[in-house]
Amino acid sequence: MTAFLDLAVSAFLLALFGAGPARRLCAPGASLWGLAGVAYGLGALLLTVESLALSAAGIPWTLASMALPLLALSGGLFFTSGGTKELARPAARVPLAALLGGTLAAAHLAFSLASSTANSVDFVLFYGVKAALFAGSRGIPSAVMGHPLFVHAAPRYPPLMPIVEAWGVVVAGKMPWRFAPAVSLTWFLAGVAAIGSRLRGRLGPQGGASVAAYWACAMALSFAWSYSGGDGEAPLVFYVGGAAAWLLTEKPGESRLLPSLFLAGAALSKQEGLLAALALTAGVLLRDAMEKRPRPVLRAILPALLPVAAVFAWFGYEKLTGIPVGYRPPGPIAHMDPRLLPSIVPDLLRNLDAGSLGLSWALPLVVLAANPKKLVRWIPALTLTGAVFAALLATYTSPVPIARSVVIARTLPRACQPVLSLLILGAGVVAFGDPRGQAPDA
Amino acid sequence: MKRDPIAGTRRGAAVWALAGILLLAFAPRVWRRGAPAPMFSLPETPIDRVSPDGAAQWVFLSESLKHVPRGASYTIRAATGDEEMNLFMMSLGLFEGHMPYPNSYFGIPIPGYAANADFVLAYGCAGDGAAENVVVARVRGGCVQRGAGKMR
Repeated sequence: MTAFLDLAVSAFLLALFGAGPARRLCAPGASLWGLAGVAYGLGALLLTVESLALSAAGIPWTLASMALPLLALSGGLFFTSGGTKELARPAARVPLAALLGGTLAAAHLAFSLASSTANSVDFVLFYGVKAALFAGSRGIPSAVMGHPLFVHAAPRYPPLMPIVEAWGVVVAGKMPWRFAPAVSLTWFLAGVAAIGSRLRGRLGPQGGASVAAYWACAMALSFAWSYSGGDGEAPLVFYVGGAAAWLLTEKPGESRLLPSLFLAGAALSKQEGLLAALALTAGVLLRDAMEKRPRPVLRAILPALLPVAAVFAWFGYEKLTGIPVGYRPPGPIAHMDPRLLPSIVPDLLRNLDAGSLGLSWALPLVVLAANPKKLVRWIPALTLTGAVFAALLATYTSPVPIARSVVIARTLPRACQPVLSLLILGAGVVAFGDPRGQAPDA
Repeated sequence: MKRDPIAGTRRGAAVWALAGILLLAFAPRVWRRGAPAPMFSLPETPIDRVSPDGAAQWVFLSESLKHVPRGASYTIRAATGDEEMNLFMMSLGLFEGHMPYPNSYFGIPIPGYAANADFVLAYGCAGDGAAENVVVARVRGGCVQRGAGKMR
């Protein structure tokens, strides 16, 4: 019970850290739950940047040193003018089936995490270990991170999730090991709230809520099936999915600061987050050019720049504190063997299960097949799909240290989650969206 | 006759939401997999169901922790290099505030390093040449022994 309260308090504080920026950046008419979901993601991103700055400056992480600057910033933004003045009035209730779907999905993920069937072993080997070390050291211990006997813990890996988990330890006073993977549930709930609110505003209350419910069901199944509890998958899907929900439904000329910040969060969540961010941005650029929207290149600069800047900030921190700089280079891709492709296809298909025997992919793909004339609306989802699968195929056809089928089974179920998420959102936009995304907010 | 667009939207929305609910029929596949356990029991470790071997190692480490004072150094011995590495990796989080001296790293022995440890965590009470080590406690999964470190 105490662990549950600690988790709730740390999540609530994260949402408070992001409440001011969320209110500034969300379009008028966002719901309270939508604002809360956006605020959670922005709060986690701000906390990560602040924690790196504190650590670089040698200021110990405490509840006060971490919380007070962010509360001041958030409060300042919240109570000054600008942004969402009014929360959306409930013009139409969430359809009962959508409400039921979202609730059952959350219950499934909560139960799977509580019983440990959805937890990631990486949590006890890397993510949780780093979180406990960070919290215990009151900062990022560079001596440990740079030690040759710590390379197994992937010290160069993006720091957002360990920092968010360390924040929970700072709030609770100790690492609640058994319960901590439930932090993935808060990311999931924040994602459903943020994406659901955006889709309801832009696709209409009925269609938007139903697409969000389908997204919730598919992603809850996939998170649980791919053992994502406590690792970086949930924040990655939150940030990439959130950015896509905003970019796919934007009105011409609408500010892209919020989705760009989400993409920065993705880049700080997992190594592949940068690839996802750049692929999504390239797709948006292509869509804008094909639809002859104004200034497509200029408008693509911010969503491309912020995730790159976030990664360079992390590399800069590594350089400053003596941690090995940069990501570990990929395997010897020069030795790719395309002749392996036919032999790995069965493993690829088997591991696209997503917890539903692969049926989660069916509805978005049917919508795609049924709407070939609206293909241009899908391009951002398709570029991400292409980039992720190209990277995976390059990996799987290169020399690997263990059996190829084991490598695929360990990586593909997680790696394909942002793709599934985006295909669902893209299909929802095709099914319910205005041809040029100009539908008024509900 | 012209179709009612709102009714069409409602029908489409219902299809999406019901399709999502139908997907959840697959949820029990997750609940039933992994190590057998009663449906509504709380796990003892974060990885009870996903890695029974890892869970046993986790229990050993968490019980050993009660016998190793904060600030003390420790090493881990196990029958295989894989077990030793897994235990070492997990111990870094559980034993935060202690000094680890791994006996091996990815199966490669580190000669002389473990001899500095105050405590030896012997998984399965495994050990080599540790006959002189005093057993401090027997815990689930192994023993905690005094090492040759300076904290005595």
